[in-house]
Amino acid sequence: MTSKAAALTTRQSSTAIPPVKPRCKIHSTAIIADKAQITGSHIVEIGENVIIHPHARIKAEHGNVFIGRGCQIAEKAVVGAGEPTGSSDAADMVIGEGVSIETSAVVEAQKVGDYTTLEVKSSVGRGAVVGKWCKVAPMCEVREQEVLEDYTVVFGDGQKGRRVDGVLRDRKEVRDAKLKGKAMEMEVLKGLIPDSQMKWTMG
Amino acid sequence: MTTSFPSTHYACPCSDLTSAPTPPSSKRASIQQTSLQLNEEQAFNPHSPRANYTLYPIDHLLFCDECDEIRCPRCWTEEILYWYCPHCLFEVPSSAVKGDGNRCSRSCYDCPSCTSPLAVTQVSQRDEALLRPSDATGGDETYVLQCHYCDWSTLEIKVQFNKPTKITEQLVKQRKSRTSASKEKESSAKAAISHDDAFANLTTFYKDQLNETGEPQNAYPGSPYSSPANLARIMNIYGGLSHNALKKTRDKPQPMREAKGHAEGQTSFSGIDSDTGVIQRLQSSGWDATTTSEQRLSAPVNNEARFTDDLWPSATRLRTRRAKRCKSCRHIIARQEPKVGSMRYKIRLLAMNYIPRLSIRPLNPTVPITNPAFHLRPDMPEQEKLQPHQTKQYILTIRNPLFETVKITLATPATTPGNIASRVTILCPSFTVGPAGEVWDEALSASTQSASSDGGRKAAMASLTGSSESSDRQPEAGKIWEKTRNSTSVIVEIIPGSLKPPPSIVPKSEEELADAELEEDEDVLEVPVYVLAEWETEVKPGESVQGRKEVGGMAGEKVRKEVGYWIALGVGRIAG
Repeated sequence: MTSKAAALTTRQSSTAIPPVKPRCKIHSTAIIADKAQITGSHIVEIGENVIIHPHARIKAEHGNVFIGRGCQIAEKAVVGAGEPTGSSDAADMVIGEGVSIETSAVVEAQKVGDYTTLEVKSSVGRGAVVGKWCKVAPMCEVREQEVLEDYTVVFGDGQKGRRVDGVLRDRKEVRDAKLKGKAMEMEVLKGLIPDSQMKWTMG
Repeated sequence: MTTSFPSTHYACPCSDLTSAPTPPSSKRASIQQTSLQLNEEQAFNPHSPRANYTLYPIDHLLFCDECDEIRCPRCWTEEILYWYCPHCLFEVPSSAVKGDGNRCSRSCYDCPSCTSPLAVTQVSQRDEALLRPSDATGGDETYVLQCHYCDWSTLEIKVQFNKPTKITEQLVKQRKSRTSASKEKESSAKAAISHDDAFANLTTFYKDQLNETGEPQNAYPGSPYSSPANLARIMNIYGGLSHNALKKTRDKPQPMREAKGHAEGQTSFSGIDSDTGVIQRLQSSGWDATTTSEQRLSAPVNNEARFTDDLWPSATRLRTRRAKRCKSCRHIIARQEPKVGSMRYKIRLLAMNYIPRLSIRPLNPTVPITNPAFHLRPDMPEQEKLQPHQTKQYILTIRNPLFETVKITLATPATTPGNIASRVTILCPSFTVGPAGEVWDEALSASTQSASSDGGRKAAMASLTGSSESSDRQPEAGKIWEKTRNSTSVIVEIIPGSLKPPPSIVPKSEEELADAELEEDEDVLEVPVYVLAEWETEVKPGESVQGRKEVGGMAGEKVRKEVGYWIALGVGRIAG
């Protein structure tokens, strides 16, 4: 997007955005699409090389959101804690490096470990802790307060729908291949999604 | 039963519950003349527990044009057209299915962990050094089967392939080498032999035993006394010793010996044999490493798998495409093209193309009617409840899919069957519905008809008073409400009954109170209506005229046909 268009959107957003504006700390290499939504009054920190697709939502209404470097958040995904149910403590959320949050996933976890993939329409309940290199299969659910150890694959309900991926754990080359695939995907996406992080950092 | 109102469900006349209210031949004249008030015993009760199994939406029903009857899933049979694999879409001949079982013999495999299809994935490349396993031979490309849903791959069971084709052969080879290797290990460790070998040893041993102890097969080969029975007969004739006596004297039967030792196939249970290993594995890897019963039953190779490490990819199960046949006349009523992947039907006799369709809607709706198939909000709007004892009028529209003019006779019990008696009156129970035709016919006839029939005084009045004609029209008994080319609407008056029984002075017993308790969906007002459609059709030259309800008929002559069926009109819930 050209700087002129960016300036235009900034001017528009200064009037359209409600008074409570998230305090964003966005790394300069991050790509945040124009149609992405960042709401709430808490801090939103976005690391380097993060890609946030159009219509992705980051909610900082009830706690800070930290997104590590190399993450991508696809369209219609919702990241951020919802209404606090019982305990009044701040629902901060930490997303590690290289996490992929796919289309329509709903993430309210307390922590998502590095290189985890949350597939299409999956959901991670409030206060859950997801380990590193985990995968939540499409349409699957991680319950509230659930703790997933590293390399867990969630593909069904209950304990029998959880599996520790031994291949991924024991073989570095498999992990490297996955990383390579992710890197290639990010490279393509960088060329496809126009950046408009000015909207959030300026004004 | 139904979640949205108004609704129409069609009852298949295959059960006695939904049979015609009167014998059609004897009382047909009376049906045609009178409005046919039905007894409660005769009427079909949509609240009866069995009604759930006979009521269908019209798009679930087929029609047999030989029997002229509605056909429901209970009155058609299915026959298999062909087997095919859902992954590779190859047809499998039925002889192969009978011989090899209903699994794809090509390279289609399902994940044993989550049952989604496995894909062949390349895991090692020379230049990019992807995923090179430490024990890969020669550093060439190797392939694995991987599940894209749960990330299970054959690397978990340490199976890799040298080439991406002929996966089945490679898998079988690896399986064989693995089982034989484990067998060897077992035999060397505990000197145990496999089940099959033990069985083979046992059979040879017992065959030998039988040969030794049993009577000689053929004592005199080449002689006319070849069979023992023959010999015995001849010996009897000549009055000698009987054959049995001879045999007894000749040799005493030696007692048969049982197998002993592994060479003869004898195996005995030893407590420490196999279970200790399993128990140790269970202790070390825990419950999570065991398989579920679904995983074990996914394929015969997995039936014995106790741990997730033992799971083997299961060949994809084949699917069938089926044709539907009428049970009574064996006539095919639905059949797809016998080609894999083609969804086109060669024969499909849908009920909605053969029987008049009915729909009901309020005459003066208070809330706008929404089509349940199309609504913007995820939650359905609140359905308005019916007030007891308040007369409400409904428009019942009958739409004709046939190309002949159809005479319709409607019959309904005066009060709905069931615990809550609502009064129902169809103001015009007998009328005709015009034939269906091309879409263009409708457009043309609609304009001409309105100009000729309605265009006179009424239209002038409407234009003068400024009111549309339907708003000030009053429903009249015996008159049709509205008529288009192939549909006719009549008015139905419904007085919903009360959920609570009328108060009485006599105190009620416990049983009566228990009876008064409402069951689930008892407050749904459903009106059973018997629809009798009669029409005349020309006999086509090749068509048989042997049907029950057809009378007379050379080719070209007119033949009377009729179809009768019950429907249940879901009107709404009664307010309590």
